[in-house]
Amino acid sequence: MNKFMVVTRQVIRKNIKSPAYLFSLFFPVLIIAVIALFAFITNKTNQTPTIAITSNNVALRNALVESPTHGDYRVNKAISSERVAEKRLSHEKIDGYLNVTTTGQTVSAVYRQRTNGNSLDSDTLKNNLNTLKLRQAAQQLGLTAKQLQQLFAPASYKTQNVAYQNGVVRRQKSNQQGANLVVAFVVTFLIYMFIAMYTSMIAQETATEKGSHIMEILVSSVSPVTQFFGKVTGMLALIVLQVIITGIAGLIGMQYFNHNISFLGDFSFSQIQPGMVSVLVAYFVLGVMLYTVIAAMLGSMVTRQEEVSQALSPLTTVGMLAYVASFIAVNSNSLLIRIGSYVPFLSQSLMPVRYAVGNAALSEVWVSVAIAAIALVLMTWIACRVYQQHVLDYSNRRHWYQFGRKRRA
Amino acid sequence: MLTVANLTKRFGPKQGVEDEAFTIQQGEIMGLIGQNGAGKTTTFRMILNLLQPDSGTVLWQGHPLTKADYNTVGFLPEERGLYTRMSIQDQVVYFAALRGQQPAVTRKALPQWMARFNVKGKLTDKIKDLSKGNQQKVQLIATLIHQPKLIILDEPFSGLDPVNAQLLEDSIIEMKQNGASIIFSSHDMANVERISDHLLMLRNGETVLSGTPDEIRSQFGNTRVRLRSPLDRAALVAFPGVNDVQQRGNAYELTLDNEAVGHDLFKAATSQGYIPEFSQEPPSLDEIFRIEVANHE
Repeated sequence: MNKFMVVTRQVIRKNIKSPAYLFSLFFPVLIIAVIALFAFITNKTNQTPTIAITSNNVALRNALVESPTHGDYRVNKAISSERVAEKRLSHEKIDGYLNVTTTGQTVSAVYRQRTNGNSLDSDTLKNNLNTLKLRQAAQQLGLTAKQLQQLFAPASYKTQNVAYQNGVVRRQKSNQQGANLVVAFVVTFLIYMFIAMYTSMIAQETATEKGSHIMEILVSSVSPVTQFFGKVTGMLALIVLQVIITGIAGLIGMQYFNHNISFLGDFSFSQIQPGMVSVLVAYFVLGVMLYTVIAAMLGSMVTRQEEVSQALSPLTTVGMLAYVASFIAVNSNSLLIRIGSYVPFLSQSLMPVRYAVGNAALSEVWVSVAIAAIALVLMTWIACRVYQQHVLDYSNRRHWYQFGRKRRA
Repeated sequence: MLTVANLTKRFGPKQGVEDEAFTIQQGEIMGLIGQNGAGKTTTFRMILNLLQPDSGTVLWQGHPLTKADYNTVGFLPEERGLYTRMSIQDQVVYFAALRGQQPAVTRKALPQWMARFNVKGKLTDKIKDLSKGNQQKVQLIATLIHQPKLIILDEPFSGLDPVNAQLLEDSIIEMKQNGASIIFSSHDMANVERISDHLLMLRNGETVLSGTPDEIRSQFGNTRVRLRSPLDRAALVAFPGVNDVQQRGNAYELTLDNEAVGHDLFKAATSQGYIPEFSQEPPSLDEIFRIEVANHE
C-alpha cells in the first residue's frame, strides 16, 4: 500500500471512528427520524372521529351517510334520530353528530361535538352537504348534469414568473424559481456548515499532530507533500460521504413529508432548473475544498492545539460573511454581489443563489466555477508549500512575514 | 553504515552543532551524551533530513538519506507523541504502515512485542487510558516493530524504571545483533556505558569526547580507588598523593594524583594481609561528564 493511501485511509478511519463525527454524519437522518416519529405519534393520538347524521329529510340523510368521507370521519349509520344521537354523545360513544334540517329550499345543519372528543375536519362533510344541496336545487330547476357543470366550472388562474436576461425573457416553469431557490438555500447552508466543520477538523488534526510531536515521526516516514495531499484527499472522501448521506436523507425526507408539510407540498425535483444540480455539486466540492486546504495550512502554522480556533477565525469569518451575503443576493443584484459571486471563497455562497433567482446565466456560473477551480489549484500549491515549511517549526515567529521572506529567497 | 562528516548548524547567533563527525557501522551502537541544549536533538534531526545542515554531509549506506530510505528508519523523538484516542493496535499498525510494513504483518508481530515489553493493557485499549510508562513502551514498539536498519532514539530511557530500562537495553542489543546501526542519546551514563560501542559527548554543539567507553575513560587515567581495609579516614587523608577521600558506607572512594599512587596505597592497605576490596579504575562516565562540563565553563 503506498503511503499516500495509508495517510488517506488513516484520516477516514480515525474520523469514522469518532463519535462526534458519526453524530454529525447521521444528524440529518436523526432529524428525519424524529420528525417521522412526531408525525406518527400525532397521527396515532388524533384518530378519525366517529359521528352520526340525523335529519328530518330521510333521503338527504341517507345520501349524506353514503357520501365519500375521504377518511376524515366515520359515520355510525345505525343512529338516525337526534334523541339517540344526543344520548350516544353523552355516553361518549360518538364524537359528534350532524343534524340537518330542511325547510322548503333552505338546508341548515348543526354539528354538535364533544370538546373532549376527536375533532372533525369539517371540509369534506361541508362539501358533501353542499353537493347534495346543489343536486337537489338543480333537479328542482330542471338542469342537466352538463349545465350544472358549466355553471360551476371555476375561472382559470395561473401565475407566470419571468426573468429578463439582457432584455430577453428567460422562460421558467411556473414554480421553477421557487424550487431552485429552496435548493440553493439548502445547499448554501450545507456548504457553510461543511466549511465550518471540515476546516476545524483538518486544522485540529494537523495542529494536534504538530503539538504532540507526532509530526516528527510522520515527517521522517512520509514526505510532507504526500502527507498533505493524503490528508486533504481523506477529507474530500469524508465530505463526499457526508454529501451522499445528507442527500439521501434529504430525498427520503422530502418524499415522505411531501404531503405533511405545506411548504413542500408543491415542490418537486422536476422543477429544478437543468444545470442547477451540477452547479451546486461543483460549488460544494470546490467551495468546501478551498476552505479545507487553507485550514490545513493554518493548522500547520500554529504551535499548539489551543491556537487553532484563533488561527482559523479569519477564514471562518469570510465563510460566514459569504453565507450571510447570500440572503442579500436573493433580492439584490448590486455590483458588490455581482463581483462577489466571482470571487473564490465567496462565490460558493453567492453564485448558486444568483443563478437560482435568475440573476446570472449558466455561462456566468461556469466562469465563476472555473475561477474557483483555478483558485483551488493555486491555494493547494501555496498551502502545500507552507505546510512543508511549518510542520516542524515550533518557533513563535511571525509566519506570514517569514513566508514572504522564504518566497523571495 | 551511517557517516556524518563536518556537520555544522547554526540557529542565528546560537551554535547548534559545530563540525560534528562520526561513523556508525552496521551492528554498532553509538551513545550521544551531553547536557540539555548540547545539540543532540539537532544532530538527530539533521540525520533524518528534518533539518538542513549549514554545511557537512550525512550519508546512509554511502548516499544521502532519501524518501526511499524512510522505511528502514526507526525514530523515537524526544517529545513523545501518540494519537491518544487511538487503540494500541491501530496506532502501531499505522506507524508501521507509514514505514511500509503491511498491517497484517504488524498485527501478527504486535502481541509478541507487547509481551516482550510487558505492556499492561489490551491491544484494543486506547492510548489515553494507559499509564505514561506504558505509553512510552507502545511508542518504542512503534519505533522498532518494522525492524529498522537505522535506529535513532532520542532519550529512550527517560521515564523508564530500571526493570523496563533493562527490557529496552535487551531490545536495543537484539536490534544491533540483527545488523542495525543505532544511535541514541541518554542522560543515564550507566545505560550508555553498558550498551554503547562508541560514545560522543557534545557540549554547546562541539564534540568534546569521542571513542569507545573504555578509551574515553582510560584517557583520564586509573585515578579512582575504592577501598575497604584497616586504613582509617585520617590515615587515608594523610596518605601522600591522595587528593580526596569520600566515605561510602564502610568503603572509601579516593581520588589519586596519578596511577602510581595506587601501588603504594595497595601495599599500605595490605600490610596486614587480606582486605575485602581494592579496585583502581578510571573515573566513571558520570564523573567524566561532570568534569568535562566543568572544564568548559
